[in-house]
Amino acid sequence: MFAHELLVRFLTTLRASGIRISVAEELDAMLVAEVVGYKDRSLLRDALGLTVAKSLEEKKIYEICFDDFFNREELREKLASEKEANGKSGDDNGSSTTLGQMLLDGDRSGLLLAIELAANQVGISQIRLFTQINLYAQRILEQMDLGGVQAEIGTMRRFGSPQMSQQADQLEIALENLGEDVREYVRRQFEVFARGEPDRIRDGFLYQMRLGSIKPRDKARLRIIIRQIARRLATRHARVLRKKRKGKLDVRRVIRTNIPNDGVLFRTAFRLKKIQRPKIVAICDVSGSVASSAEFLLFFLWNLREILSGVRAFAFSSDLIEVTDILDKLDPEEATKKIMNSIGFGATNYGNSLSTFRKNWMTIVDRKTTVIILGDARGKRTEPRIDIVRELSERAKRLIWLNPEQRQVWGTGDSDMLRYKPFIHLAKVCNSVANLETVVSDLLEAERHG
Amino acid sequence: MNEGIDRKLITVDSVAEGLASVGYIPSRQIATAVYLAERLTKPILVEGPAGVGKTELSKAVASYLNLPLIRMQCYEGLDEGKALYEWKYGKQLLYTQILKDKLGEEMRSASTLKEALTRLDSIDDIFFSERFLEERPLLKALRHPSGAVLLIDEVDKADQEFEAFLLEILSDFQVTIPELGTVSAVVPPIVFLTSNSTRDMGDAIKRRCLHLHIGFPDPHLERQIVEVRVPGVSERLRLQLVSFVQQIRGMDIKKLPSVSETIDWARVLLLLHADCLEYDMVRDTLNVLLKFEEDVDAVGSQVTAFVHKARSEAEGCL
Repeated sequence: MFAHELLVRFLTTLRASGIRISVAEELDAMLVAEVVGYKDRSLLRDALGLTVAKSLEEKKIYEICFDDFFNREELREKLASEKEANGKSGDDNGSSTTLGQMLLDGDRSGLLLAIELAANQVGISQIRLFTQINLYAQRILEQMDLGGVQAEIGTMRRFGSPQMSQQADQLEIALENLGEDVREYVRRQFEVFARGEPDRIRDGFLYQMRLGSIKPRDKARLRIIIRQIARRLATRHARVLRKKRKGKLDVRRVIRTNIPNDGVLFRTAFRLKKIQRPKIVAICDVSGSVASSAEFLLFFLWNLREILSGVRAFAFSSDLIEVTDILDKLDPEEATKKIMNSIGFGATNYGNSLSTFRKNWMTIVDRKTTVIILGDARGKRTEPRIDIVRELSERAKRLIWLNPEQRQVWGTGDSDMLRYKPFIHLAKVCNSVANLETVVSDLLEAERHG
Repeated sequence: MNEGIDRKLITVDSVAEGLASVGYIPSRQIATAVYLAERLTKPILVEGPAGVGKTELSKAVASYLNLPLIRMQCYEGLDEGKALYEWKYGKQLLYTQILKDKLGEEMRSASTLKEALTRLDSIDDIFFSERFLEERPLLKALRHPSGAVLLIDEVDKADQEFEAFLLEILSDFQVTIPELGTVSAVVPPIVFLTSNSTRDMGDAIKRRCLHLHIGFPDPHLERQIVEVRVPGVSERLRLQLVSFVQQIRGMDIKKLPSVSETIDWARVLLLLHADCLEYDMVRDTLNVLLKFEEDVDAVGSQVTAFVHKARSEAEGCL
C-alpha cells in the first residue's frame, strides 16, 4: 500500500513537470511497478519510463524527475528510521514543546521530517502559483506549532532569569533559520508540483498577446506554441487534401484491375485529381522597426515550409535576399538568428528591396503563385516602388499583405500601407499568434479551393 | 503464450541473454521493454534514428522465441485490403463458373421462388467463407495458432486513418470483419511498431503502447555489438573504430552514422585485412560510414585528429 502511494505521488510529480500521463497510462504504470517490483531501482526506472514517457523530450524530463524524486524518498526514509532509533531517548532541555526541543537540540533531520509531515498535512501538492509560496510556508510553520514555541519564548522572557532569556534568544535564531528552511522547501515543492501549471496560464496569454510586446523570457515558450499550431494546421490540411484527390472513375484502369477476375468488374478504380502544388512566395521584413515581430514571422515561415512544400522565402531590410536555403538547412532558432544577423535590423528600404526581387526573382511569380508580404510598410520615406507591387499583384494569383500594425495607424507617418493597399488582394493585421493562425488557416483554405 | 516462451521471458536478464544468443545485443532498456511487452501483452512503439536496430529487434525476438515474424511495411495509401484481409475474387469467380451447372441443378429442384432464394442464400455464405479469405499480415498474425511476432514497420509513413484503424488491434488484439464477425487473437502476438518520427504519432496510439526510444549506443555497447556481428575484427581495431564512429557522432553533419553503418564499416575493414585504423584507409572507406558528399568532406578534414584520438583511447583500454 505504501509503495502504491509512493507511485501515485511520483506520477503527480511527473505530470506537474509537463509529462502528459493519461489514466490508462497510470494504471499501466501500476501494473508495471507490480511486475518489476520496487527493489531494483534501475529496472523500475527503465520500466516506468517505457510506460509513461512517450517521446524523447519526455524521457529526458522523466529521467531527471525519477532521480530527484527517489533520492528524496530515500532520504526521507532514512530520516524516519533514524528518528525511530533515537526517538524516545531525547532528554529534557528546558523547552516544553517538541518543536522547541528540536530547535534547541539542532536536530536537523527531525526538523526536516517535521517539515515534510506538516507540508503533507497542509496539502502542499495543491500549490499552483508562485505567489502562494509564502502562504504555504506560513501554514506549514503553523502546523509545526510555531505558535507554541513563540508563546514559550514569551514566557521565558517574562520570567527573565539570564539563563532563560539566553535560551529564548537561541530559540528565536533557530526559528528564523527554520523559516528560511521551510520557504526553501516550499519553493522546491512549487518547482515540482506547479512547473506545468503556470505554463498553461501563460500559453493562453501569449496566444493573444501582441508579438512585439512579448518578453524575451517568454520567447522559448512562444516557439513551442507556434510549433504546435503549425503541426495542427499541417494535419488538418493534409487530411482534406487527400480526401479531395479522389476524382472521376477511370474506366481503363477498372478494366485492367479486373482482368484477373475474368473481366467481370468487381473493383473500381478512380482517377486521382492533379493537386495544384500551392506555390507560395513569402517576403518578410526583418528591419529594425519590426524586429521584435520579425523573429516570429521568420519562425512561422520556417514552420510554414513544413506544412506546404514549395514555399520560397525572402527576407529584407535595406536589401533583399533569398532565405529558402537557410530555412531548409538549419533549425528554426539558428535559421532565424542567421537571417537576422545577415540582413536584419537594417534601415528599411521597400523600394530597393522590391526592385532587387523584381530583377532576380520576378519570373518565379506566375498565375499559380500566392505572394505573401510580411511587413509594416514603413520605408523611412524612401521610394516605395508601388509599381512593383502592382506588377506582383497582376502576375500572381493573390497578393496578401500581413501587417503587424493596427489598422488605424496604417498610412500614418512614413507608412506607405494605404498606397500599396489598392493592389493587395488581402491586407490583414497580423500581430499575435492567434492572428497568425487564422490567417494561415484561411490561406490554406484558399489554396485548396484555388 | 506457450510455456517455452514464458520460460524464455521470465526475467529481464534472461531476455537480454536470449537476444544476445541470437546476435542482438540489447541495452538494458530494450530488454526491459521486451520483457514488459510480453508480461502486459502490450505493443511496443520503437522510435529512433535510422539504422539503430529497430527492425532488427523484432527479428531477433522472433528468432529467439522461435515464432514466425510477420512483417507489414507501411506506406502512404496502405488500406485495410492490404493490411487485414481481402476476398479472393478470382477464386470466387472461378468457382461460381465451374459450379454453374451444379447451382442450376440445385435451383431447378426448388419448387417455389422462395425456396430457391433460401437455397441461394446458403450458397452465398459459402462463397464468403474462410475458404475464400485472403489473409493479410494483420489477420495472419492474429490467427497464427502459436502466436507470432508482428512487425508494423515505419508506421509513421502510413496515413492517419490507418493509425486509427490499428487501435482496435493494438488494444484488444481483435478485428471485425463484416462478413465473418469479430476475429480475436488465438495467442496475442508480440507487436512491434517502428517509427522514424517523420511525423508525430497520435496520442491514442502512444497511449496503448510501451514507448521505447533506441538512440545511438554507448561505446561499450557498440563494441559488444561489433564483436557479435563481425567476429573476425581484432580487439584493437574494434576499440579504435568504435571510438572513431563515436567521435563522428559528436559532429554536426547531415546524417550521423548508425550502428548498421558501424557494422558495415567493420566488415569492410575486415575485408581489407586491417588490424588498426590507418589514415588513408579511413579516408578511402569513409563513404561506407557517411551517406552524403558534404559529410564525407566535413569528416575528411578531421580524419587525422579523430584517428589519433581513437588510437590513443584504444591503447588506454588495452
